[in-house]
Amino acid sequence: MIRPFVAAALLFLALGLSRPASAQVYLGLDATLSSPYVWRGVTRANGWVVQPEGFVGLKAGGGFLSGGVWASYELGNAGPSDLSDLGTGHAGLAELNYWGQASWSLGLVQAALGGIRYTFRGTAPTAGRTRADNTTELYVDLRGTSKYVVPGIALWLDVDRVQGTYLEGSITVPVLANPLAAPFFVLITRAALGYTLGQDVNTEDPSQGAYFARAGVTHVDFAVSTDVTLRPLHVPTVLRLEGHLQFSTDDATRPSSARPSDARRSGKLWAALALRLSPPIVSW
Amino acid sequence: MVRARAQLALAVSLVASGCIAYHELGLPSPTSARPAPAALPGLRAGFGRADITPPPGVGLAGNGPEGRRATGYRVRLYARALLLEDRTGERVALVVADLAQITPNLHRLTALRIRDSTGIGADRLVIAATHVHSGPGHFYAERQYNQSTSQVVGYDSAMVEFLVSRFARAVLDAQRDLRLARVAWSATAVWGHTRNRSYQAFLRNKPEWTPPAPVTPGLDPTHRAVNPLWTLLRVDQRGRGADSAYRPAGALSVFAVHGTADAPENELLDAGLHGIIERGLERHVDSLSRRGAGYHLVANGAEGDVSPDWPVQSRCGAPLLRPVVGPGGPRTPPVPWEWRDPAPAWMAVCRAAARRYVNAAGDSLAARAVALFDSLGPTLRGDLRIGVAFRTLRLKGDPRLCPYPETGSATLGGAEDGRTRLYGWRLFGIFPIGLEEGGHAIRPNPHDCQREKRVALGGLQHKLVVGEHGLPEVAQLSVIRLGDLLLGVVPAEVTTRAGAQIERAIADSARAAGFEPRAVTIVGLANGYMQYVTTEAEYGEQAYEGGSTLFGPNSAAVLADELGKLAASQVRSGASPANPVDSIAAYPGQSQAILPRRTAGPPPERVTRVVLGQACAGDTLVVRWRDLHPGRLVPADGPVLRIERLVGERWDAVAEDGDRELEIRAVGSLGSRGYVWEARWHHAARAGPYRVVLVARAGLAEVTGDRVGCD
Repeated sequence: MIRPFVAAALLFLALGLSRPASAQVYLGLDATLSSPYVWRGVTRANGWVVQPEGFVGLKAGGGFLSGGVWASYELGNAGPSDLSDLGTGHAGLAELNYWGQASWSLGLVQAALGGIRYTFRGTAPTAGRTRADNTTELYVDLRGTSKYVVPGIALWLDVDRVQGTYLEGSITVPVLANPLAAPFFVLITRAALGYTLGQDVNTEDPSQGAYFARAGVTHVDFAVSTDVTLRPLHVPTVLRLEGHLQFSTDDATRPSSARPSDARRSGKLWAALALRLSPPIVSW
Repeated sequence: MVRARAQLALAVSLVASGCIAYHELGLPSPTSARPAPAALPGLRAGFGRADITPPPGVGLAGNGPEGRRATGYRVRLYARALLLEDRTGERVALVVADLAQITPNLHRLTALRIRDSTGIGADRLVIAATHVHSGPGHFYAERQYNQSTSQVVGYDSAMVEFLVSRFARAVLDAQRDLRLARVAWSATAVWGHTRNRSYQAFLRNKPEWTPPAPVTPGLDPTHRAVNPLWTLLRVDQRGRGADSAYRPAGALSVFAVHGTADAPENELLDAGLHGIIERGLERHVDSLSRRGAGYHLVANGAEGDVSPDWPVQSRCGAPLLRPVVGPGGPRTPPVPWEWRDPAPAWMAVCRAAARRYVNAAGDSLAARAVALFDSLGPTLRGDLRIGVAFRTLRLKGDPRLCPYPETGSATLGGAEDGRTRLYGWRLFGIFPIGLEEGGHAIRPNPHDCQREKRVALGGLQHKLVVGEHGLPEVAQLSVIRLGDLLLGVVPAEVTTRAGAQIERAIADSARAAGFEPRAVTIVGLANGYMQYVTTEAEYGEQAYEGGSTLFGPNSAAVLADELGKLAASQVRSGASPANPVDSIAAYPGQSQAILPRRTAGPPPERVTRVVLGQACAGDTLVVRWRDLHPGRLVPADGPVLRIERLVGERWDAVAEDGDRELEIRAVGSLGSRGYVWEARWHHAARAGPYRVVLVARAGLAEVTGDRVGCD
């Protein structure tokens, strides 16, 4: 009984057409244009920032192994009342990240596990981040899937300079999506809550780095995003537009600029436009 | 408020995805020639048939966003034609095509093509669809249908030409086949194969339903809430030359059943349940006639709310919107969410369940047709009187109807036969937006012409999405007299009770004009498509059919009134009244190249057809071969392959291209070397050895594969 199936399988192997590719390598290129640049609720730069990224991904089985480099360029010279990783009067490369990630799907749960190295290029005395702030984090990101609500939890553990954990819980709700194939678009809303568990100022060890002023909830972010998938020249291309409304609860997440009047803002708005291309380049 | 914002967002998105561009095309208005008595006194009949199976790559129309791109074909699609001419020269041509719908452009352009040769114009031509949901789309006269009847969107004028040329060929073949004939018709009740899928709406009708035939005991209420009558017109033809014997030639059947027996997730071009019924009687006629091919046209009746009795396991479930795991990292913009199908193994199981049902139900219904056909032998007569009354009703602007067509939100969720991915969707999982049958699809405060219908996207539908000409505007109606049988031809899917209302109006009018019909039967989905027509009472339920009744709750009454007038005018004229053919236009949108073209891939002289491999897996023989690209290889041009079995010293054909157990798929391009095709044949445990024969085609010699044992 088994023999015919083996023969059929061998036939298809020989023909090399019916089976799905057992592995694929993807080349990814993306760029995000954002203003301001907000990271974990903290406004890092309140001018225009472009953030290109390149990565390589390997699809094997039901998961992906990926590694890449991400950069953040501040496009305009920061003024004295601006927030900037490079500092007043500077523009250009402000941050370079190197990361590696494994992601996979297990039924109704999707998971990602990885590490990221943050390096900063600020040198000015007013720079928000300098080489001294370089650090490394390990992270795990889990999300469930259901028809309407996708709950998620991400845990980021700094193992270098900050030595603490940042947690982000989220609920994602799709609003609508084009039921037809092309052009595919989807409108998604997301609410996220940030919580620091050691990435705040350590009063017992002031030399330890910190991103937040105190332990607990850092901010609540409400986001709406739309993805439009196009296929110019048969390359899957995604255009993403997202808008955020953030309510801040930590002294580090409140400022929206360097002006004293903006230091205690409890809410802020920001938006980003991203373009992503990630075509498979090799299959076997 | 929340609902309004959601609808605005959806409308803006829909508009952004395709600007309203109609590309108006004027359609011809060919009128029939005056009848002239034929040289041979007596009734004459002729049959024709044309293969309309397009190459893979087209969208399968009928299931909206769940309609797949065709990867291949199974039971071939045909257009079958019956041409009848009585002793006074009155003619009518009836065509039934294995398609989901027929549109005015197909009808008028076919009429133009046959007018000079046959004298038959648009008024005497009836083209009806079986309503199979696994035929191609892209031919619609209305832009909105080209945008939404399958996942492959767009209008292709080449598809119109492909279909029109073949419809015309079928009618012209029928003209050549005209011979003295004898006919008889009857109707029988076929219970148990169909059920009412919108029973709650059905129950709203008053008075209660009185079935037109005694009900088989034991049937549940939904199975009783249908019109079970199978009407069959049998045609026997006289032989040519010295052969003066009349022998069975074919039949025209009318039976109300949706063409939705296949799983909505089916990805093969396939004539479906109707294809099995057509072939079942044709084989029987072949065996009786000793003249070759028999013909069986199976038109649909008042099937708007009538489903085949498909098993629940034959529905796979619509895709769900899901986040996707993809390559990238913590800084990468996330992979967009996707509509994800159920697991492939589940899909395979439900498709197979649907196929088993299609074959079993098709065989059973074909057996009923055979029995009815045989029972008519003693009553055949050659004195059938033919008459036709025809008119083009302008729906838009008719004061009895809503001023313009609008789709209800219930329509977007799909009917029970094939729910779409939008069915039951709620905003944020909480706020209903009417994507359901009944419930929130019913407007609580009816205040305009569309009354209980919650119009999808509200006023934005007409202003931003559909526009002035995106949906049907005319209905071509006719009443055909075939002896004492009247056919009410409507371009719609009318529900059981709406059909009964129209049939009653036709019968009453005919009677009042002095003619007593023995029966009146609706032929639906003919000469155009205006979606559904419910009764006024059913409309209030806003089930799928009510949501799809575009011109409001008075639609059935208007059709009944108009068809009644046509019946009266037909009777008063004695045969056929003057039937003006008004000018109409199509608004299909810009033509795109969707139907694979005859220029696709390398020409035949540069492709070496060869069998690449053959294997048996269980009871399935799988063959792969290299051939032309889809487009150069057009299934409708002729058979592609057959499978032979070695019996003693001789190879006997055991499966022909188009058999229901043989699936043929276009697998993948080899570039300049050709295209890989695959055939899968379920050989029902008959031991081999087998071999495949690639049939000779234009520029390509026959190729025979090696023998393969399937023990």
